[in-house]
Amino acid sequence: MCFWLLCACTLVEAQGSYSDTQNPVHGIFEQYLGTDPSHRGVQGTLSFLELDGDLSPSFKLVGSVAFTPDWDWLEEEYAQLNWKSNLFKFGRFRSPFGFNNWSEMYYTPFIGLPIIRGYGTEIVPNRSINRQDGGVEAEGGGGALQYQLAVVDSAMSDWEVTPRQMDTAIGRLQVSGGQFMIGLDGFAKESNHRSGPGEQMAGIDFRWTAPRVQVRGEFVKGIGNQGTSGYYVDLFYRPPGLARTQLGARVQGIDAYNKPSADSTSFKYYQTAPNEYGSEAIPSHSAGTLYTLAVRQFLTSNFTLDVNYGMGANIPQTNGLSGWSVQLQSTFRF
Amino acid sequence: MKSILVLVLAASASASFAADVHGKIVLSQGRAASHAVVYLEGGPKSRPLANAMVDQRGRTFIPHISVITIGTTVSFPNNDTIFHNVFAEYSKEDRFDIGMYARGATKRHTFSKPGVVAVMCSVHPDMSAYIVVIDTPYYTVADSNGEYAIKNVPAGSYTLKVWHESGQVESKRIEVADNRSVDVKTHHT
Repeated sequence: MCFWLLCACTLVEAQGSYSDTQNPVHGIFEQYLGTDPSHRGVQGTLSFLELDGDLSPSFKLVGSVAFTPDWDWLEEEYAQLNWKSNLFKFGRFRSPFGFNNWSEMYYTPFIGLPIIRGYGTEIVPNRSINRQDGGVEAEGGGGALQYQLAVVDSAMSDWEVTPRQMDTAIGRLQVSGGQFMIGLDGFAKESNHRSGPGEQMAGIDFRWTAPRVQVRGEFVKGIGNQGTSGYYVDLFYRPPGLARTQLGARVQGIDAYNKPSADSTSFKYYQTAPNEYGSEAIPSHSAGTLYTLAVRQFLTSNFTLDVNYGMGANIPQTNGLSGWSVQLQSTFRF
Repeated sequence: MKSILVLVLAASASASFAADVHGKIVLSQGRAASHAVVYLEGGPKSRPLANAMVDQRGRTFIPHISVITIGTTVSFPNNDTIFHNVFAEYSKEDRFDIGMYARGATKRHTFSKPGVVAVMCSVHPDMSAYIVVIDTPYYTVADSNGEYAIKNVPAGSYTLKVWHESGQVESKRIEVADNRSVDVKTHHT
């Protein structure tokens, strides 16, 4: 037993202090350094800072911001209220559409976001699903059925906190049974002078989990003549005896109508909107499939190393996602 | 190997042959062994606890260190808005993985063997907790100053054991009867 005691103490780097209750004000700082498959050295950097204020057991404030050399933006700034089994958010938050939160996207072995979740992938013209909205969100349900409903401004700028025009409704219904979960998502924006014509998107996602294994996937489709559709399926596996190692395999496909993000790279944080950063070549249609193998190694509780290899279709949407890429992530809590 | 010094003060406190065992645990560097787990073996066996919980809130396991008795079922509610996973790999006594689950869901695991179980989340590498599984009703977790007290211990011979998350442990035979103090020097295993 002594040996295992030592293993437990040595291999698990515990937090600095014991706590029965968490400090009311706490936060997290993350730094991402990545290599582009087509270049040498570190090309991508991202810093993420989040502050949480637990004002009471049922009320908290969340604020987070992300920085890159070229682009900074507010991530989420909201007040969260828990009431019975319901949760309400007020402010700026990640759009409640599918696997949307920071944890789902950034804490995986994959360096690049799924193409359909790239910042530059427009499911309908000028609208991606990787987005921060402003408004009100309600989340609740119980047992096998959970819901999310939001009325928001889906055209928030990078530094806006409060909505200007709540013209968009987003809904999610999630059903779970045993190890399986399936979700349905809908997005509808009304036509108006400020943010343009009406838009609709739909999505379906699933997740299956078992000890050591997780499989998840999403399919998203933009409704209308200029809609883009795409999917990804991820497999995560933690080998026996390697508690700090995670293996991943991803297959993803996209059928894009227009505006490929030709300038985007493999990095989650550089998959920028092509309409903002310019893309000269605008083919009217492109489709392809990409395969990615990944390894995530928790070096310590503060440092994680990801290694990816991508292969598949050579279309604008997969630029920077083929070949080898490496990312070092650091995480510090306070 | 570094060692820590455990100072044990045993005080007789009642006429019904029950005493409070208290003292202070000090690391070899001189600082207090905060939140060390202290327990007494050699007395009656324990019963499973009726309620035990390790919460997941704010991307933290709360509490960071728990002590439970053999047979206790621990619930792991997810009170974050993100998915979490709970697994233990570095324990010879108990290895488990209860999968990923969403906000509002609770999963449970029963700990049937004594030992120290390091609990982790496969999504968030900075999350960790320890669950110390023992087979005695007499235990406590020292405070941030390394001070502890185990109350209402029947008179008799016991083995006092100490576990600290730095990896240092110690055990020493003690007699619980009258006022007394015991010095224990612990070491890395």
